Amino acid sequence: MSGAGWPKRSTSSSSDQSQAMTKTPISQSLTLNRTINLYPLTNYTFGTKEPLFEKDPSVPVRFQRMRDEFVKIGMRRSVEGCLLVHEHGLPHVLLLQLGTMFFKLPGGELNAGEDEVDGLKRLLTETLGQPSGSAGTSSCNWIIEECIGNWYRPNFEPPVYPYLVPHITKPKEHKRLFLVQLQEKALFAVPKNYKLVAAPLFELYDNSQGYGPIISSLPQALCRFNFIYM
Amino acid sequence: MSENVDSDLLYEDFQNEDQKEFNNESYGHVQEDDLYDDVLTSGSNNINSENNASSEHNAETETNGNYQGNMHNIAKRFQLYVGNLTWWTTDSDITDAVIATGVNDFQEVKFFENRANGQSKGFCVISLGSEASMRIVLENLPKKELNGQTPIVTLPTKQALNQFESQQKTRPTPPVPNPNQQKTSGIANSGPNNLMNPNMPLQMHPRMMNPPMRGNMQNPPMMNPNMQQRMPLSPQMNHAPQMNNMRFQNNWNNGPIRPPIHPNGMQNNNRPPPPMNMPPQGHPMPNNMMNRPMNMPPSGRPPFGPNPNRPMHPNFNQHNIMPPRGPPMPPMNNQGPPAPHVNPAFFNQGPVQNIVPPPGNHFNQAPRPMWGGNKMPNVFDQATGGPPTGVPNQQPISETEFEEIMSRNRTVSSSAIARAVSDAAAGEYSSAIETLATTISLIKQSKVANDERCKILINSLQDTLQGIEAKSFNRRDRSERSRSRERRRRRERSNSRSYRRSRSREHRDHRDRGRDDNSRSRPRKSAEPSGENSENFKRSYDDRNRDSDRYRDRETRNRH
Repeated sequence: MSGAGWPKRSTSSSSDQSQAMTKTPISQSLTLNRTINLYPLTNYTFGTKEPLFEKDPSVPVRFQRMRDEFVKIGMRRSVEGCLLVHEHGLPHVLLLQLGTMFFKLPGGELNAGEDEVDGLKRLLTETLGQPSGSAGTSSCNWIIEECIGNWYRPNFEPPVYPYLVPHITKPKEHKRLFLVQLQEKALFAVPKNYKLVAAPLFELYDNSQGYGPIISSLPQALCRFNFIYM
Repeated sequence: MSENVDSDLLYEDFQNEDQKEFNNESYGHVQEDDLYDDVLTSGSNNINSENNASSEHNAETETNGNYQGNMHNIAKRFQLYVGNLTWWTTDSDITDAVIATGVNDFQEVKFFENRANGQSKGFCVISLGSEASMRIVLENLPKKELNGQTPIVTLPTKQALNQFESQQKTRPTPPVPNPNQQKTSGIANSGPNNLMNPNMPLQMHPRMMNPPMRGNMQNPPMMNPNMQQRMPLSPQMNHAPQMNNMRFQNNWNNGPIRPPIHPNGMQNNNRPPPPMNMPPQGHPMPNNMMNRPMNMPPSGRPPFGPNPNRPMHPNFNQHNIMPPRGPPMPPMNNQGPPAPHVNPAFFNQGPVQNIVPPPGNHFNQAPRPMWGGNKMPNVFDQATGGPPTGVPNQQPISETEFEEIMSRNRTVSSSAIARAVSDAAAGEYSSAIETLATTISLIKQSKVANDERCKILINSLQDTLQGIEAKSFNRRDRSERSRSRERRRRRERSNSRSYRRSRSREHRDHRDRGRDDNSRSRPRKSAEPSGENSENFKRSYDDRNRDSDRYRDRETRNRH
């Protein structure tokens, strides 16, 4: 039912759409005017939990594992979530900071055959959800709204690009970025080895030196949305 | 707790490595850049290395033969470079082709890519299992055709690597320009190319009304294979010198976009040749010239190297080559578009001086003011009437000869304008005017003086002259100079766009010099700080306008 090509019931509905909820059956504006609600950073509480270590202790090991798995399973599929809050009328992206200089988005690798959305929810809960056994429900209700990027790794090397380079027939990793709609309030538990920071968009913009190509291009990836600052 | 400590340490390590990797993922691959250097020198290439992990991990190990050591996989001692490929030739294409030559121990292929955007450089290294296979491939693979091109197979030597790298850069260079004529065709041809370079189109299309893209016309087939590299437009560079060159070049690409518009700017195509040879030689082998300049003046012409990265606009590349890096040409940044193109070559070698003085003498006699308005018609008449001093213009001139002369004229003209501009900027109006006058007469004396293109050249010279004249009449402060520069720049620009229109403007200029200043500067988007512009250009077109707006306001304020 939803699809950009479907003629709408009436043209006026598209202007209403801009105020309306995002998931309306009236299709056309779904992509034309995508509305995302942002809540203030203060709505969210951040606790801590046990450290969550990366699977690979070092970079060479990481790529070696990638090679091995490539042979066995094929291309690695990764998902990452872009959690947005707002402050002072500007969207902020929640980033996990490892150490002092390294930033990453919450997410990780999908298991073989795992669905992307399910996998991302699983990973978000693992990373930021309440420790198992506790009652933190709100943070577990992740709403995966939109895919905002596809990045491909052509070789077993760090560079990733937002397109598949033509001379490589099989990318080694495919990373998908999703926009996650947060609940109005939530309690996050941040592993002790990470810091959770909220980076304003201008901090990321044009700053691939500091954040890498994916994160620094988030402002561009997000600029098409119509944000409502609740 | 100790656990945590251990893991923290682990993480420090991880973090560091990730930092490096991280950095590598971003634009500023420091290690990679060093490696890049090493790629050329030691033949080991991180880019190529399967074991990128080690390469990122340790800057030291990167420099060592990554090829041989650190390879997790099978010993890759039987390797070959395969080059002369299109950028869309895939790994499976290579694999299929190699297997088709009859070897059965083909292991893998790894492409050399542009770190910044992942584009294939058009050559790769293949790993085989035995020397016999190597021989088979060496002999048989070149007989095949891959995507319309014949692969070149070599042993994995540094030389070959350099060769392939440099080939990447040289190919896009276009042959001689006849910029004025090629404008539209250039745009057409560069259209698809432009797509490859997102920033370029923005800058090029609005600006390069007259891109000196004759080269494009002639080399469309060449373009494709050449577009194997794309210069990173925003080289936030910690790249190796090679890349640094590209950066400068990029800045130049972005910055003095205006220059190409000006016919004199177009002469830049000839630039590469001139620096290598005396200006009179001009153009004929732009391609060859490009090759040579790249290697020859390493410091002065690094931009040549990276040129190939801009295959889209070979001519454009040339232009940008012209403006050698900032350091060697500080004055260029401050001056108008023609300046960058001309200064380096000519001022370095001072060839112009040989040409200019002799004819200049008789112009000196003309009182300066005469150049202003009255002289112009005369000059024009002379131009149209044919060379004043009996240079025979009636003989049919061969195309090559014409080109040669034309390019020579262009070269001379650019350098003259540049020189004049710098003189004027320094306040030496008389010498500037003299230079220009001499050049005008020189060109008019040439065999091709009757040609439209030549007339445009002369016209632009005269515009410049007008500007300088105006300046010398209104000796004010720096803003005045810049205004005139802007005026001149704009005039030059409009010159290229419309020959006639600018002429009428000239007349108007002379008469309404005062009034015009404001209105003149308004259309001129570029501002004085073209150096700054060139650096910032890559960031945003808007920024540039903003700068110029600010500058314009300042100017306005100065006037009142």
